[in-house]
Amino acid sequence: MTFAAFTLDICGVSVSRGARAIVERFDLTVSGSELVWLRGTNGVGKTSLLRMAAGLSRPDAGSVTRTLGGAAVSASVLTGFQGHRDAIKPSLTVHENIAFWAGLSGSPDAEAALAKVELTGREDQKAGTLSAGQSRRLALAQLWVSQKPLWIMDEPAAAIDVAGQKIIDDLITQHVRNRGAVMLASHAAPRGLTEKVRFITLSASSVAGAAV
Amino acid sequence: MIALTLRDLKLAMHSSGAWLHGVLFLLIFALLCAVALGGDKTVLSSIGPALLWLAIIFSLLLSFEKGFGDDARDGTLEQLYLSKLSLPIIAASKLLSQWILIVLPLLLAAPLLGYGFGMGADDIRATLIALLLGTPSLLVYGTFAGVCLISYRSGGLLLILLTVPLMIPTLIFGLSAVDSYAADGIINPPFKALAGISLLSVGLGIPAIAAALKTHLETS
Amino acid sequence: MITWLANPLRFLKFAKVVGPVFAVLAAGFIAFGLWQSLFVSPAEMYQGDSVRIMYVHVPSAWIAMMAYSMIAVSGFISYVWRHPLADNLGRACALPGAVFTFLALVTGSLWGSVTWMTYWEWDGRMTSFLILLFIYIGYMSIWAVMEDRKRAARIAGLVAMVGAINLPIIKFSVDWWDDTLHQKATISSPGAPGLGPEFLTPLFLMMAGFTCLFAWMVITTVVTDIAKARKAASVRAKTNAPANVTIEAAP
Repeated sequence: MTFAAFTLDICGVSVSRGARAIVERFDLTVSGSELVWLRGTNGVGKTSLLRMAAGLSRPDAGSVTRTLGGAAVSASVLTGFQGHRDAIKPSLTVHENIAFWAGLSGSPDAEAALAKVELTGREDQKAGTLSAGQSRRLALAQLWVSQKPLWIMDEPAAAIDVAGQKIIDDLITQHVRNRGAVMLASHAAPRGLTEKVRFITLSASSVAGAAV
Repeated sequence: MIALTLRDLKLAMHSSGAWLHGVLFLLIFALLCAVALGGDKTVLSSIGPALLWLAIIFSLLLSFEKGFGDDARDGTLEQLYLSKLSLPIIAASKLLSQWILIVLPLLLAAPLLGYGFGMGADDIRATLIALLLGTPSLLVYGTFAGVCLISYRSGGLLLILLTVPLMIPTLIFGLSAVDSYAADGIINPPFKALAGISLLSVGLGIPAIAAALKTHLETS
Repeated sequence: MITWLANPLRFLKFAKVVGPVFAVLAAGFIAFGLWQSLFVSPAEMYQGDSVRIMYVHVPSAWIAMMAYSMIAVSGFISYVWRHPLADNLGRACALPGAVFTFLALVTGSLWGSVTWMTYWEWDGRMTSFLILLFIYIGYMSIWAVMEDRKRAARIAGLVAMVGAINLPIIKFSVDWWDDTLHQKATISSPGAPGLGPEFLTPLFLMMAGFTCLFAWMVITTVVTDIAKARKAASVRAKTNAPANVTIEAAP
């Protein structure tokens, strides 16, 4: 499956968290087949920026527009989001978890998604008994079945071992090849990702008082 | 929407009976009332409808914090927001599942309490009808306040403070309905008022809950 | 006028002039009103001197209701147009509103102690005001517990609107309850119609005085809030500038 042409247009946006300004007059355009890598130290505001891009929060100023196949669409059509929290119900089985999200997006391939993140064989296990890394992979499968062209991922590799990282990298690569796009925040250096990568680096303003 | 409600029900089945806590509370409340009033059925039966309403209101107040709390904490809410479902639909399906999980068991247990209090069959029937008509509004108020206070774990008392003033009309008409049932049957002003309040609160409450959910997402 | 004042700086300028005017007016009206109500106006035929409680009670009740209407309207403006000044206004109305609600309850209870021979009667009006007091406390608690100002403003706005929709229903139901479920008090509450001018003059003076006092309290609180926010913003600009952003393609 490949995705229709789409754009995420962030134009002159200011984001704050609580009383703290994070970015001001920020511009970014993301479209298909792109990988945007957001870097920066802890607390610089990567998560807030991603939540804004995902449409979960509103910017204080500026505009965010999203188009799919030339028509303006809402965030829920365009973006899938993987946050710090995995949206997994521990008392349900792995299969029940993934099947729910697959059903919501009308995606038929819950099993295929589990296979992609190498959780095949654990379908009937309670999700609460998965390790942190396995939960993260299940969340990734949930992102996959959402069939959204733009993935916004906040530290997708947190709590994941080397083999798990390769699974993530492969999925991201495949998604970008399908003309999807990924915007992710991570401390780690890019690994085997061969696609076109853009880096956005957020750094705390060095000179106190000098910034506008 | 049905899928979402069904999932909530399934989750409750796996929660080792947490959904029965409300009924347990109801029985404990009844026990305390009976002991406090000396177990005198003439006293108990005369104030039975009021005791039942109080038992149900207190029991509901204890349950409201659950509402969207888990979904907000584990990230489900964010994912639902980015799914095809709209927030009003999410709110409505939660109300439905909460009604089935929290209110319905209480309504089923209520006649038992009524019998225990020595209430007559007519009084029990009237109280049940009034509860059936009135509890949707109570559920809406509590769910709304619960969403406003998501992520404030110590918000229990504040939740009660926000909810109770809104509940007063339902309580007043609920008791008045029982009083007038013997004379007028169920087509009387308090029953109509109860139904009206519930309709109004569901109609306005769903967008209000959706707005509070959106605020929670935007500022977390 | 409203849009003109919506700018915080203009509001500060406006408040600098109008605030003291309200303070002086409030002092004048209340002083004159007190003199009128305590010395000039006569004791009432049936209620005697206790009628003088009305000169504090009725204006308090009036402010209590007006303050909540203002909270509801600013909650609406704040929620729909996200205007920070509306947040300030709603928040500033809450404490005076609660205090005047409490004052109305206390004076009502004092009046009841001589007229009904009890400090508390579950009378429709007293019950409604008790509920109103709880609504005020709930609204203020939201501002108190939520540290994130944006969230507090939006949730408080929502709660104020929901409260405003429900207030008429609560009032109606409590009146109904008072009429049907429980015996009417023998003498109606203060503020009964048919008052002569000798009673109305001090009443209106006190109402004008209380209104000016309330306006002064609200304006002062808003000014303090704006000043605090500006100070915090200037501190923030020094210590907490937004991040520098660099965008580069991978080599």
